[in-house]
Amino acid sequence: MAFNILVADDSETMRAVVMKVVTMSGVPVNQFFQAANGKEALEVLDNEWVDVILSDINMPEMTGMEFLRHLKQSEVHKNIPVILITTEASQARIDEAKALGVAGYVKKPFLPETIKKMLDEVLSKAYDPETSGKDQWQAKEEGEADEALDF
Amino acid sequence: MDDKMRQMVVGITSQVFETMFFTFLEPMAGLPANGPGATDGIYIRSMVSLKANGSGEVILYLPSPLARDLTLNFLGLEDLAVTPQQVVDTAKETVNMVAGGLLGVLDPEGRCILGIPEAQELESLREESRLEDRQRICGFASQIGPVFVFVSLKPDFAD
Repeated sequence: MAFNILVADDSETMRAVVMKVVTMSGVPVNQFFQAANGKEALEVLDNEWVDVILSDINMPEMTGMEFLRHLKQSEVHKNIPVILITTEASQARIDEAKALGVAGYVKKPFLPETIKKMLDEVLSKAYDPETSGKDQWQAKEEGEADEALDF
Repeated sequence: MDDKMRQMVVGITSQVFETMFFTFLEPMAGLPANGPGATDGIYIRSMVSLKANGSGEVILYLPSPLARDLTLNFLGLEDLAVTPQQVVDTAKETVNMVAGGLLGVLDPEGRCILGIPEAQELESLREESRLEDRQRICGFASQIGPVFVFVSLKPDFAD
């Protein structure tokens, strides 16, 4: 199975680095989606299914933590695993992220192996098509398509 | 900045450069006699603010050719493919990592918030008044030229 992966970071360069590391790690990727902040990430999720999210915290407009709170309130998206990749290294911030249900936390600067290990862990144990919300998302999409046809 | 703080800045900066860019910096025993501001060449200045009860800022001064090399290493690009925006982005990301590393030690309770980093090219360091404040600067030698890190934290920082 190849995965759809959303990378959220306000730095285009960092997004490119993260995508490169993921590609080099051998994780099968169907498609990458990108967002420059949490708001854009939510817009991506409105239109596309993603299997895992790699997100920064410190972003303008909507931070990674705010994005995470929105995500966890969504019945459809709450089970998508989120890995935070961030410079924010205080224990309090890590604890806050854990409380919000993040699947993993990678501190910048990072080694490529750290991202690979984290992705392997998350995708092997956390990804379950039954509970991921993908079925709900597909049903919602099909419903919207039917409504469009009816119109 | 006291010795303990200086060691922390040196350690964190070195770790960021080695881990992300495979680049080794040599901490300077002392700053250039004429002052860092007298260093020739075009520099990229990247800075990020820290906000809590107190406040502060971390500023990184990178020789422009070094910033370009770091970007090439970071993205694994050929020399001709790198854009000025990517160089600026890399400088911002670098200072963000240095500041984040400092906060991880100085502010374990996470009361401080990092600002959004900014960066710009400077034709010269001569107008940089902050570089006259030698107590707040750590210098590093690199293969391409000196790198300076300016750290200013108000006394009540993270109280």
